[in-house]
Amino acid sequence: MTGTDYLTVSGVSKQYPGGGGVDGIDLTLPRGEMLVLLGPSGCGKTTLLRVIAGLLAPDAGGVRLDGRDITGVPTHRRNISMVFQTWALFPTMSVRDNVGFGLRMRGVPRGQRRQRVDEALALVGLADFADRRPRQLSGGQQQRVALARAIVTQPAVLLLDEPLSSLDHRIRVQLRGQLKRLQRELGLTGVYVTHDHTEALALGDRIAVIDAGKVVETGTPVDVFNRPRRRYTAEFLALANVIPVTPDGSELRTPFGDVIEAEPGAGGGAPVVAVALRPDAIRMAPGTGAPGSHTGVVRAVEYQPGGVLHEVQLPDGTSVQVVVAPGEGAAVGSEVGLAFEWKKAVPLID
Amino acid sequence: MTATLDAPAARRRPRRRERQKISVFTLVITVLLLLPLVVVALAAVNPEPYLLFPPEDFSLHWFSAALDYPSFRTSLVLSLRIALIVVVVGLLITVPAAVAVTRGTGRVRRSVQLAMATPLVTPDILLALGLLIMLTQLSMSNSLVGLVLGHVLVGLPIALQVLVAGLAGIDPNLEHAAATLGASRIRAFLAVTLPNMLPAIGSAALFLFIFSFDNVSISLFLSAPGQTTLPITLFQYLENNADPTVAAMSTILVIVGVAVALLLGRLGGLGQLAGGGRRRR
Repeated sequence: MTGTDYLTVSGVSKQYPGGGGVDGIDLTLPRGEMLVLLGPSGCGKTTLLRVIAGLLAPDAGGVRLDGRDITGVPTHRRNISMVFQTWALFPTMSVRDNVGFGLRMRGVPRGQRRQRVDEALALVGLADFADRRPRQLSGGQQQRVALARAIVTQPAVLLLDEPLSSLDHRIRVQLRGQLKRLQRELGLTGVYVTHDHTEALALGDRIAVIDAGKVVETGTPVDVFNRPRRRYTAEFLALANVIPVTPDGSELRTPFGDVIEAEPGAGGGAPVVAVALRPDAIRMAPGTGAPGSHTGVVRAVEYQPGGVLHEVQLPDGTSVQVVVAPGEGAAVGSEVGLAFEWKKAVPLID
Repeated sequence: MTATLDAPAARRRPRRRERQKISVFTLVITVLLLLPLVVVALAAVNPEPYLLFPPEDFSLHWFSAALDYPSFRTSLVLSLRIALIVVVVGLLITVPAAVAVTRGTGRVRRSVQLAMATPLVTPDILLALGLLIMLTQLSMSNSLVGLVLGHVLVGLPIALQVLVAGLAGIDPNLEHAAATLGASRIRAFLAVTLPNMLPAIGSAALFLFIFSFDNVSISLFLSAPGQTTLPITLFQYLENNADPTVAAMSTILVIVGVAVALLLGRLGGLGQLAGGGRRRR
């Protein structure tokens, strides 16, 4: 196997009578990497995961895993594991039996099974909880049992369907780190579904942004977050101002009259429809009239870990977000001058 | 660890308070419903050889008389035997049917549900008559087959309803999880779904049991001579005698019924009958 096509999804479509589903998805994933499917709820990312798992049959397209076409292979013979949003622990079984279930189904002898279950529980830090029932555990502990159950069988690919979304923020962040570490150390190949871009950034080796059943953009987290190519990606991640522009020769014109020098071929052939500009690439000063600046009115102020976020409305109606250091802020309703560092703008196509 | 153990307890507490609030209403209705049973039970402890309420004295004489009376004894044994067979046969039909209803596709679901509901809207007498004609033609009218079939039919709709409610409360992702871990559909069902269904199966079994044990209308038609179930024997006895033996035997029936009801309460079967299936994860 060459590294780049360990898991291949080609042309997968699955439509539901009531709408939704996925349409012509192509993805590849090298061995040992984690692919994050990122998108809003209802975009089809869970459908795609279930097609990979074999829980749904695609209308068209196929899935290859480790050089084998598994499209027609039933779920239980795919050597995969899946962690569900609700964890789906077996309530009538102890933690030990839950974790050992996959090994039992594979006919692993009892003694060996016990040893591997103990190892897996130790990996997730639950060695002392083997004899509990799932309902005697907290949400975070249940999630870790689900993870132990999924990795103990050494699956060819680990599928995770928003496994952290029903947990508190603090535990979520903690488990996220643990999950990433485990995935790296065990060399697991994984597909992780989430709508949370911070999770995607923390966990993914690759990110596929999905909208309305189609892959909008793929890349490493750094690429997708710092230099998104598509307007949808930038808007969904909501990390930067997305300012619509109209192309004018080699320049881009904003609705409030600024002109941006675009690099040749910025859109890769497609017309540039907007630019992304991070909130810290806009300078804000109280009062009006500074050269090369625009006057706007502060509409809202929000304190954030990285500084104070101001929502400023320009005379033409465009709203932009500006981050300044604490103490340099302006009051809601006051007029401020804005200067844009267009050199940092990222061109976006539709 | 106390934190994790306390959490479910805290969640349960408000529910218990709610239950206390309904209990006065429940108590009044329960007393009204149970009044006839109380009358029968008290009539049974009257030592005089006629039915009287309220009793003038206390004696358990008629209970031993009832259990010593040979035709009561053979009827009781027969009733229990039939009820147990009905439970087994009924579960063999309703458990797969419940799976079809909850996990099957739309068309399967509707047809199975409709078929299983028909005994509910058909008069018992009609069912019994139909079975009688059919079994006479097959010259099987002297066997227990008719009684068993009739009783199964009567209990079927309720048992199915209880099982469907129980199954609907089981996360379908449990079976999916089992499949991703390498279990075929049948193994996933046997190892994961079935153990989770056990309370519902217990409830369904108890309903099948009590519907058979208490049945009069079907048994009236299909009891062969010398093979009468207990309610029919009591009915025939009352036609000629009016002593407290029959009240004593009835009280024994009531006790069996109450025991079943208590068991059902513990298993959650009564709630499932009302459509309030508990979600189990």
